[in-house]
Amino acid sequence: MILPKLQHAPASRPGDRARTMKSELLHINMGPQHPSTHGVLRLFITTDGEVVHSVTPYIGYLHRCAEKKAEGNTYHQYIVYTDRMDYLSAMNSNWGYCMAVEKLMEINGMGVEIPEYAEYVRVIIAELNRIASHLIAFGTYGLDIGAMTPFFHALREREAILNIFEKVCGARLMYSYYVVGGVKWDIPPDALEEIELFVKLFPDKLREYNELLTTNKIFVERTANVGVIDEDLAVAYGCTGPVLRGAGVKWDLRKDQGYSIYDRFDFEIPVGGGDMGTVGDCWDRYWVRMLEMEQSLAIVEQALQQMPREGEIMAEMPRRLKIPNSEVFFRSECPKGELGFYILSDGGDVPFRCKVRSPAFHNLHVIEEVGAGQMISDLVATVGSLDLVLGEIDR
Amino acid sequence: MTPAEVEAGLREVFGDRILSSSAVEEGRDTAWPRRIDVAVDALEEVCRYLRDSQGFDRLLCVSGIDYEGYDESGKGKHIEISRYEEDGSPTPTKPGSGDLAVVYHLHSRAHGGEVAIAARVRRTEPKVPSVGQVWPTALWAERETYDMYGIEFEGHPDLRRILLPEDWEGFPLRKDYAMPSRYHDVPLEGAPLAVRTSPREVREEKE
Repeated sequence: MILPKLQHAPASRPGDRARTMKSELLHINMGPQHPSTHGVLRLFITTDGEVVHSVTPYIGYLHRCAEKKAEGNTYHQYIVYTDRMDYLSAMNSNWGYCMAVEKLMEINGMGVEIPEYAEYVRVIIAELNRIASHLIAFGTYGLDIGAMTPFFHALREREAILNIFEKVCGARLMYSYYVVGGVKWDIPPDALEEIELFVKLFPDKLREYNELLTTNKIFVERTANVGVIDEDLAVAYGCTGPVLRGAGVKWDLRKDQGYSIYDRFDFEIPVGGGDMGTVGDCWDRYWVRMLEMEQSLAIVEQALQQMPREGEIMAEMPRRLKIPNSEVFFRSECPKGELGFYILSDGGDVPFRCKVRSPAFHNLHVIEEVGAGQMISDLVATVGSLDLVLGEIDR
Repeated sequence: MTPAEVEAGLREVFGDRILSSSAVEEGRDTAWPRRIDVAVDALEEVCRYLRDSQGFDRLLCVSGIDYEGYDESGKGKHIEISRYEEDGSPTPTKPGSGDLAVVYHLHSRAHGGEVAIAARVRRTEPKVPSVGQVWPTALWAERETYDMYGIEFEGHPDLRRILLPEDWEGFPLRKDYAMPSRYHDVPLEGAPLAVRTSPREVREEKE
């Protein structure tokens, strides 16, 4: 067998390589299909080695013209489109929109009084949905960092909540349960029992999560002192929800604006305190969500105790809603932040204009500022800690 | 601080450049929170003044409005949204002539007040100063407004489309927007699949 003659590279002189090697910035596309972008988010990253030089998010892959559709649908018909915005907490989006329309009716002197029983149902269901949304945030955040187990634990409990919702309204993701003036169905007795059972069992599970992930050494190393968003930055970039509270700002619309019947419940507003590192780092945002689940559970527990045995679930409503020339901007506290609806009406049965202030849209904006200068792996941790839902960003 | 005090402060400083404001009439509010319309050339100064002297440190929302077809008398006729005909062609639309507007919703953490500032511009010359230097969050919100309404924000460092592709034509949230029939040679008609042009027909059409 004749071996081919080996081709030797010409002998190089010292310093040759150094002379021909160029150092330049590298452009990388992270997404739109990437495991850590929570949907179809594309981050255009310029890197200098392992360090991120600049981040430019490209969004719009899920744009479904939600605002244009509002102009062709009546006030009641538009509720189903609000489901499809933040699909992890559709109950909260429904409620925000319904309250905006109710406020619009109120300023025109055609206000409806929501029955007390319906208010309690609204609060219980919305807070359960908040827990379900935060469970996804907790589970997928672990997944982003590299811990797989918490995800299964989180989905197991979320499943219990979705089962309750299925009994309440028949749907597991797109509920359309809230309507202008109340809710669509009463909570059936067996679903009520399940909620009571959930309230009893969930604190133990929370303890389990904390043991699994919260104080895990690797997790803390990956998240503490990473992606710090301080108070000034959060306020300037319009961050809301856990991102704002993680920065140490005690601001929650449920307490500060006091809509619905939240003034009847005793609950805390958790804020980030820099327990593991700096105030406003990824760990703080994560921890605020964990504490919020506890508070939501406390609200559900109190609501179950205070709730009347039975009552009306809907106020008397005109079948065809026509609202005179006026406008309203109403915000409500959703799991992702402040969801606002700006509705302008001109007397017709459809809104003349309906603008949605998406919390995740403004929360994502800050990544341009925070992402630059980080390591690539830290960028993944920061994006995960913002808890983005692209359905809501793109609308 | 109540919206009335905010408005009084604004009128004192800016005089007749504050054009009008929504008010309670016949027992009903026309806007909540109160909306104050200002002249376009005063917009940036007004915003700076509100942030520095009145404590409005948070910009919540920037919304565009197209007043084409808006009924002041409150009859609210139904405006036909551009869509596709049975055969897949877009419904024709008449060019509009109504004004465009931008509304800024502000909030103050210091005193909890909320107020809306609005600026109306002509459709033929939709130019508004950018307030991105006052509240950085406006940068993205203005990009969205530009994307949907074609309102140009002067002084914006990076005014590009944000939700739609960069080569998209037209501004979809304008009332006179006409749907395109194809995008990059892909037919966009909304007709059911059965009557949609088959690839062969498209090919023949091209030849």
